[in-house]
Amino acid sequence: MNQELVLRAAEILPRDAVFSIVGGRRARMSGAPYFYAYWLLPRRHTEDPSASDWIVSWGADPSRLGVKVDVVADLGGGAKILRVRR
Amino acid sequence: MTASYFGLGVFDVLLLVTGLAVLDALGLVRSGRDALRHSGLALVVGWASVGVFESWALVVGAPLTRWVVASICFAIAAAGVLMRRRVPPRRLRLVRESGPSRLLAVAGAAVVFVQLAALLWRAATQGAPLQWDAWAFWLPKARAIFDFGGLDTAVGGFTSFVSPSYPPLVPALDASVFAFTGNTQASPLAVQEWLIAAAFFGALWSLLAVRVRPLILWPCLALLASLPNFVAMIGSSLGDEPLMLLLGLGCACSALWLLERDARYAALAAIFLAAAALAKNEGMPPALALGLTMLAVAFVRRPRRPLAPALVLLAPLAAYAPWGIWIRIQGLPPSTDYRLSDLLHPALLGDRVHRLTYAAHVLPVHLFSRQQWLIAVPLMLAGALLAAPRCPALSLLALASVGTVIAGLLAVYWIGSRPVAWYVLTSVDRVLASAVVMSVVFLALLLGEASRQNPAAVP
Repeated sequence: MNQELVLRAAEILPRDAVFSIVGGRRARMSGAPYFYAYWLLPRRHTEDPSASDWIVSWGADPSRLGVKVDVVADLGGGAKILRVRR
Repeated sequence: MTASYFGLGVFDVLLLVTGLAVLDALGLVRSGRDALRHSGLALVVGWASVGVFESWALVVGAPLTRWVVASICFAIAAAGVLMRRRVPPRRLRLVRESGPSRLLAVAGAAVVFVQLAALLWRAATQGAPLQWDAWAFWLPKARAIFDFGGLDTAVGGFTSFVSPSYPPLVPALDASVFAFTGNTQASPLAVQEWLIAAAFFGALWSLLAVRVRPLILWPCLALLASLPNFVAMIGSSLGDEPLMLLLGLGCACSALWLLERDARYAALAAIFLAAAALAKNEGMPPALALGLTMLAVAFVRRPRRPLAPALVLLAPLAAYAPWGIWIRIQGLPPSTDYRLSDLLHPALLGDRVHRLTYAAHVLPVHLFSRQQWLIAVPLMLAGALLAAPRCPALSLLALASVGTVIAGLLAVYWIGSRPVAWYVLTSVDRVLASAVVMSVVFLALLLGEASRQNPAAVP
């Protein structure tokens, strides 16, 4: 589940944030997107990175997100918290 | 954390008072002694009726704050107080046990209490649920109601989670717990679910002891409390948990109406079955099967009195209607896993017949698995055979309602859109729970009727 990532996201993302979760196969197989969406409430989860202010990334390639981002926290192993650049 | 549990206690007192008011209105609780005896039943009646009204309140856009929940409780209780003058009291007589057979009843009761104590320990120490469905959508929906003030349809709101069209009773009741604890920690939910499970046993005892002697009743309750999958379900925060309890109570009340011919039981059945229909989509078919069977019996026997069973049949439909309208307005599909209309397409059914044969092969393996459900269902089937000569209507009610759950599951697996092996594997253990709990409730009644010295004149 990469607990460190979700706990760090809970610290960084504001409570009114709209965020998406992107990840590689490992993240999807673990069910992490569902758990993160629950854990990070009342922040609002969307599956569309372009509609979000924040992206919680676990093993995704930032260049393939379709949006420009700034890395806010890099936890290593592909776990990053990204801010969508507007 | 202490403040959370204090808030939880306040919520449960409100549910208890609401349930007592409903039982008072029905003439079942008219003294302190009655209130004590029926306290388990009162709690589950309050829980079910408040859950139904909360679901309606959400549909019309209300948030579930402490004050809204308390207002719902007071409104139901006030309606109960107004009704009490019209309904005469009825003290339910207990069937007594004498002689050495009392020891077996005491042993059964001891098993129930030990199991409940162990479950309380687990709920208090292990806290938050771990099942996938619980944190993928049951708990998030409850948190969304609490955090966003109701059924929020925006990004990340109530309808953004898996199975958005599942009715809202379970998340509503969980959101009420959050409202009273003042936070969204899931740990108190496990304790709340234990309390409802304990009240469920108390309710079954106070209901069934009217017809079933302790020698039969307590071992049946002990069997229920010992079912491995039932025990695993308590505190899981899955929708299947309240569904199995509500359907079990609905069965008990429907059967008692059939045996005692007292409309009070029909009223209780209507409350529990209405709540079951709003707990999960799977609650509707067995609720309708119970109502239809009651109605059929009411037409066959003399004097014909179909009004009470007709209301039992209508209750789940009426309870669900506002939610059904709401999901249509929001444009949500009734289910993302299957389309009921597919049952009307013979060609599609023919193409998917391999799914049906697979499910028909696997389902009985799980249903009759001693590791999961002991021998609850075979015992109920034997009980239905034993009771059939004396009380065919009760046997019919048991077989029709439990059979509807099984048939409904087979139909869903048949028309489902997901790979059938995966679908069955990830759901069968919990979705069979209702059928098995209903079986054990009927088992007690069937054995009770089969062993009665002076059976009542029931067709």
